[in-house]
Amino acid sequence: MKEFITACPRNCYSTCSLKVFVDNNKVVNVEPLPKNLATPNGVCLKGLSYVERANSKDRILYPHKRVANGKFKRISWDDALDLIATKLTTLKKEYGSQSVLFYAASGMSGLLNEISGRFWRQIYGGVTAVYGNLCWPAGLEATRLTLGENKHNVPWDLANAKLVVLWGKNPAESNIHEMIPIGSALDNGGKLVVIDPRRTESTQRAELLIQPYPSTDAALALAVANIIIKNGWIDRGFIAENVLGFDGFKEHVLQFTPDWASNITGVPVDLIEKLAWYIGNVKPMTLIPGYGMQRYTNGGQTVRAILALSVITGNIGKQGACWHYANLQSYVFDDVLEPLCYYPPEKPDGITRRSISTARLGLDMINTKDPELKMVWVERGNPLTQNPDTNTVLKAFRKLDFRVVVEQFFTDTALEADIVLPAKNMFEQTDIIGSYWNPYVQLRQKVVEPAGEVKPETEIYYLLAKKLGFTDEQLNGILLPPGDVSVEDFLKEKLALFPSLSFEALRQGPLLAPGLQEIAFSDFKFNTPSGKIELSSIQAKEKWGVNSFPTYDSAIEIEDELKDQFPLLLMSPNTKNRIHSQFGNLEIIKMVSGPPTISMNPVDAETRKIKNGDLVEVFNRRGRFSITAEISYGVRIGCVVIPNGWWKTQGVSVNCLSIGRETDMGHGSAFHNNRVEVIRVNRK
Amino acid sequence: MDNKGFIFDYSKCVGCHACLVACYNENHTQPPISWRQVQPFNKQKVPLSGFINLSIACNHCLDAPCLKACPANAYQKDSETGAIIHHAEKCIGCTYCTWACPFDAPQYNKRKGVVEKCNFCNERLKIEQITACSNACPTGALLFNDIEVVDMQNVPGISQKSTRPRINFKNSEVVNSIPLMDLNASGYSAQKNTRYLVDKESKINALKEWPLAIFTLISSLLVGWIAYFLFDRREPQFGILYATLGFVAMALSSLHLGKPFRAYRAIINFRTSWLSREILLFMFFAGSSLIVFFVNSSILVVSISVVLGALLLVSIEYVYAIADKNYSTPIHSANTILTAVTFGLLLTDYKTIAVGFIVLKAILYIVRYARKDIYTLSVIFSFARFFVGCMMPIVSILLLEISTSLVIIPFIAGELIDRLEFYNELHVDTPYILMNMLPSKVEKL
Repeated sequence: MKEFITACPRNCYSTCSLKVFVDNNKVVNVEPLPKNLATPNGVCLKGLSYVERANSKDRILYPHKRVANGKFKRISWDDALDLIATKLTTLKKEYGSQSVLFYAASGMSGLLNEISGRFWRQIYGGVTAVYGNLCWPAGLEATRLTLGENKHNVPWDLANAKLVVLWGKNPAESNIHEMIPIGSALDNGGKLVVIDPRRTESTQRAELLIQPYPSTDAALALAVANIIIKNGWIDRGFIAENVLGFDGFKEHVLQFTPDWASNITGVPVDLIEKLAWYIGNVKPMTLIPGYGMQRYTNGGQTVRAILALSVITGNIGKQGACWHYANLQSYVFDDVLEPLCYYPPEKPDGITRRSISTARLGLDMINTKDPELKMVWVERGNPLTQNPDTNTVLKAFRKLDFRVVVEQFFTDTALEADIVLPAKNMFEQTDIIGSYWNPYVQLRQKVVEPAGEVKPETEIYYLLAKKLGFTDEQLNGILLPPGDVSVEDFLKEKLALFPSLSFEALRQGPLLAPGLQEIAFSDFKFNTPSGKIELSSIQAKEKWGVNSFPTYDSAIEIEDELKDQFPLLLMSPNTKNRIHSQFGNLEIIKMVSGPPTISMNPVDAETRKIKNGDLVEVFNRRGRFSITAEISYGVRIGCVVIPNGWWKTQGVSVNCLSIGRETDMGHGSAFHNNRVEVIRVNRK
Repeated sequence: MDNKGFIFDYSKCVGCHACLVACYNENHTQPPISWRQVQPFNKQKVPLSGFINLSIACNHCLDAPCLKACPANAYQKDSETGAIIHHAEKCIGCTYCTWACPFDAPQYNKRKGVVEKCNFCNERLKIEQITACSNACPTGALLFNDIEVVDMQNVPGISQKSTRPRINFKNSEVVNSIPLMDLNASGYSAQKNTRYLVDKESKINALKEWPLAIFTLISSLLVGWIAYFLFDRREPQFGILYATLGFVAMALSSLHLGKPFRAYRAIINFRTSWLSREILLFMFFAGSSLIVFFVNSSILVVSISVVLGALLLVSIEYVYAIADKNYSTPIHSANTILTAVTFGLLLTDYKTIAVGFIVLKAILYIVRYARKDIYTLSVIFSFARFFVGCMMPIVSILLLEISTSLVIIPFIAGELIDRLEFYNELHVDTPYILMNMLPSKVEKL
């Protein structure tokens, strides 16, 4: 049995380091790697389930072609690539290369993903691509506008906080390793305050729980700012030194009284005052916002409003004091950091057409003209589960002539493909990954030879380019020829820029990112136009057309005429059992998670005559499906919760209820603005 | 080695299930079986009540009840690590260990017909590694380290039975941690807040254990029958019926096992297992009573058989004493000794004394019944048990003076119902049950 050190490349805060044991070219066990100070005790249940995932009998190990009645037939690589190459050639000739849509999502991180873009741009000669992102851009942009960049203190600094505020984040499920330093902070006498419509697993040791209606967080934050300023609980020295626009902000928040906010958020005035007291008086404070509340049409302004609380109380740039949104300090290899790299180019070059909004994928695909879309290539993503307004996305997919999906399993998206190509897993090709939470650069090592006939994407593209008639010489320097040597050379070239990072050292474990600030902004340098923290942002106004100060604008659909017809606010957070739509198909995860459920408050259930365990139908104008009701006092009255990531083949496709809209800034996806109704279904 | 064990911290466990997946990886268990479980308390987040999770598996007790209870010696303590190891190849699938363990550690695998259980990652311990579950716990809630073995740890989800488990608990007071929050937003009702619990089949119930109900009932009838010969010295009759009943009892209890062909192993552990003693005594008793019927019915042989029968019934009562009782009377109305005595007396001419015993049974039944949840099926059965099984024999004996068989048949029918109900009135306190029996706090903030 051989032992390797590697790292988990999922779209997850924790980005754990792990030891993996390999026997006879099979992954047989996964163990912790204490060297990573952020994830010292080991990976979560999903990381542990890689043992099943890597060896699952359901894994796609060969190219498949769709045959009649939705079934798939194994075909050879040669046939598969021939079919694709022929199609690509014909489409390019008849409609132009931009009739092909290249769609990749966050399924597997790594520097090698760059090769895909090179193929479509430099080899195929252009393509249509998406801009924006499903995840976090509104909050990233809000932070960038205010602080200049997205970085935060190292996770273990949380133990120094005397006040931890979890604002819309549930790390017990989405970032379990964060519970370690939070626990230490509490053991050291710190206090925990949680703002969340749900009483989550993370609230176990909280002193105060505030449950606003979803999308109203900005109103809450502005009222809290009002109280803090009124009571003089601000850090005058810090503001004078570092903050632009405080006086205007002070005037601006006068209108946002606790009564006003109480009316909007549903939070009693005394609890708003209590929250303001904690934030104003307990220092240092680490404020940890989640990503859910910025997926509303007011998401960016919401995050700016909450961030203002850290700013006026001087909780930036110090030990235990931090705005803990995203830490991009380990993204040292990127030329353009998030969120800027999500934005469509200001001057399109006519080669890659980045005109389709991720948020509106279905609609934009259907409406694209000159040329119309004829083919899609999907890798690292499952848009038919995860993208908003799934029914429209499905319609857009079915309207195409040809669909290629590179996947490990038969997901909802793979099932729609004409050709399914087997995707590598994290153990089958070496790559380098960063993390948006911990400060490490890590090597995701190849520990086994690809199973079956699996080929890494880099190799697929190389072989496809050959089918398109390119020679090895022509591909030299653009694509990577098959084999591990070219991959290592590519990565080593990337590492060469950083003396502290070497391939050999990375093999032994994670390395701190070059230039890391353990305490972010401890130099009090802010990369904003004014060089200060900008409570008032001209950029916000000019780039996104929002108020230069953070404001509360009610989110679309949440406060409108649909209120009576669809009285319940749908929340679709992440569960510990999956990363988006990954892992849910594994036997061990199915056992732990049980069947899909919708959680609702007993009061809402009673008015609908719904009992625990009843089969119910959840619906709005966009879609509907049946699901089992689970009654919980942990869900605020007026809200219902279905964790995202269930597959349609498992009975639930939560995003058929959501709609594709963009957030107020950052080209994020405002797909949490959803009203639904739930009714009991009589079992036959 | 006995000073090493689990340390569980209630304030660090967020119910993430990593321990369970680590166990699955290490031990290749097949879902839905898991050797480790994570039991939540107040998963519904009833307001004014805290919530916790408990990760629990086998605690490799110093006084392991499974090891004592197993009739087939399938459990052994590892001399090096002290791990209590279950050997599937020796297991007869009787599931008696699942009644004995207060931690719900032994899991019955229906497909394989045997029990399986956490092995303390014994092979890992032997090479100085810790258990896979503790090794994988991402928050440090479940450690493996030096412990102080103490009895009766009064913490959520943990039984008060004295087994000296190799586990220590920390920070259980976190169950009282309640945030200040808006009760109106949470759906809190001053009158009634329901905790919806998962319907879990009780480990002991009549539907599952009916062969045992028949086995024990037949045992008491056969013992009573033999005892009757102490009073009636005529030549025994109905020997074939007697032998058939004995055979049926034996066959049913053997076929009830997950591994019927290993039934012979059931007598191996007579030194500590009441179940072994029960089977062994049944065989001795059956042998001696067949001698009474077919070979020699002298008073000496009858007396020996009665003594063996009495010991058999005592051992039956001890077998069931391991379970937790849902009934409040000091003895159950379907107690096997009580049934044997009553039945024996019914066969004699001292039927009025039998009436006294039936009245005692009826009182015990009524006292018990008064505390039960009433639903239609239970009303019908209880009606039958009380009127057919108690009142009919009493009236028949005292007023009608009709033939013995017309008294006996309703009596046995009533006893059968009562005996089946007995199994529904036993349970095993698992961590799941104990966690959910924690009180919900109701005082105002």
